Amino acid sequence: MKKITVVMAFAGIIGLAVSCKKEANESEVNNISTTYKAFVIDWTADWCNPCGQNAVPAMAAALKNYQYQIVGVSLHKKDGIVANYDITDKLKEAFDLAGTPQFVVGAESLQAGSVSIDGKIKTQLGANGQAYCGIGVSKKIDGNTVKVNYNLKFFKDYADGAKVLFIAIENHIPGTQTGNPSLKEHNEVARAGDFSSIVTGAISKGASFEGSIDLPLPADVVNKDNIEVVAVVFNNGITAHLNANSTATH
Amino acid sequence: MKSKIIITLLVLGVFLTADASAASRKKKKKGFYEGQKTVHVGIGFPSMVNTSKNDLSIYGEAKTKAMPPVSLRFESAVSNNISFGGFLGYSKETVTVTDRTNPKNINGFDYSFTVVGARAGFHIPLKSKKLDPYGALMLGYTMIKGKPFGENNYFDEPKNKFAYSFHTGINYYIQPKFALFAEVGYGFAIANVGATIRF
Repeated sequence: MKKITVVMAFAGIIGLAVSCKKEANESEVNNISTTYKAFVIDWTADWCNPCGQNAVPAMAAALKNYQYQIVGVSLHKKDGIVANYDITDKLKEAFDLAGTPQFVVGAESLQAGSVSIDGKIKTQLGANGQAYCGIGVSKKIDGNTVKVNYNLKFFKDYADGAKVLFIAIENHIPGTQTGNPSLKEHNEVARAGDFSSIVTGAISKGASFEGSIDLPLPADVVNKDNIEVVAVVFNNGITAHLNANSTATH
Repeated sequence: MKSKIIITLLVLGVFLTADASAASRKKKKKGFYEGQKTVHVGIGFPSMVNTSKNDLSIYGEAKTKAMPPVSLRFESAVSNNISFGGFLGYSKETVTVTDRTNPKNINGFDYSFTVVGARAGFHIPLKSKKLDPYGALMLGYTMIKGKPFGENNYFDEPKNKFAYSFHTGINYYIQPKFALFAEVGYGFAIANVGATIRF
C-alpha cells in the first residue's frame, strides 16, 4: 500500500512538471521594447555572387555590432534555400526591391555597395532614440502554422497610424553561398509573413493594441524548432519605421 | 533629503529631552493623562506607499527597492482618553526595469513620498504608569515626486493622493518621559516602532 502511494505521488509530481513545462517552440509574449530597434532586410539569394561578398557578411556584422539594437530578416529570391514565397512578393512590393544585393534599413531600400549599412543603422538608431511605440511578440508552432500574439503600446501621440509586419524567420539552415564559401548556414531567412493594419488614423499616447495573427509555414522549412518571429512597426503608409522586436534575443 | 530628516529628528529629540526633564518634576500620573504632550519618532515595515502597482513586467524585469518609511508625530491629550495631533512621514523607492529584449536598456523611476496628516487616538486608561495602549486613525495627503532614469519613455508624472491609516499599538514608558512604542495596522506602513518623548 505504501509503495502504491509513493508511486502515485511520484507520478503526480512528474505529471505536474510535464503540464507546467512550455513546449520548446512556444514562447511568452516578450516584453515591449521600450528602446528603438532598427529593422534591416537583406535582399539576397544563395546563387548571388556579390551577395556573398557584400550582403551576408554585412548583415552578420550588423547583428553583432548592434547587439539587441536591430532586428534582421534575410529575404531570399528563389534559390536553394527557399521557393518563391508569398512573403517575398509582399516585401518586394512594399519596399520596391529589385536586383540583389539590396538592403532595407527602416523603411528605406538601398542598393548594396552604394551606401554603408553600418552608417545607415547608426543614423536610424540616433534619430529614433526615444521610440514612438514598443511591441512585444510571442510565437507558438501549431502544426504548420506559427501562432503569433503581440502587444503594441504607444509612448507618444502619433498622427500617421500603425501597420505591423510579422515575419516567421528560420535560423541554422544548412547551405553554402556563392562568393562566400566559408558560409555553412543561412540565418534569419524569411519563411512566412504578413502586414497587419492596426490603426489608420491618429494614435494617442498610452494607446495599447493586443492581438494575434497566424502565419502558415511553407513545406520546405528545415526545422520548426529554429523558427522565430519578428514584428516590425511602421506608419500606415510604410514610409516610416517606428520600432521592431523579435522572439529571439540577440 | 534622508540626512536632513535624520538631523531634524535628532535636534528635536535633544530639545524635547531637555524639556522633558522639567516635566519629570511634575507628579507621576498614569500611562496617558489629559494635558500631556508627546512626540513620536518611528520607522515602519513595510512601506505601503508606492506607485509601482502597475504591471511593469510588460516592459521588462521590474525590481523595487524601498526605503523603510520614517515618521514624526506630535500628539496632545485633550482628555484622559483622546489625543489629537499631526503626522509627518517620508519614504522613497526606486523601481528598476531591465528590458529582456535588450539587457543594455536599464531604466526606471525614483519616487519620494511625503505624508502630512492629522491623527486622532483613543487611549485605554490603565492603572499602570508604564503602559498606554491605543487605537489611532490618521487622515492626510501623500505628496509624490517622481523622476525617471535611463531610456524611459513610459514615465507618467505621479499624482498626489489622499492618505489614511489606522493602527493599534502601545507606548511602554521606560521612564516617565520616555517610552518605546509599537503599533500595527494599515496605512503608511503595516507596523511601526519607535520612541516616544513626553513633556
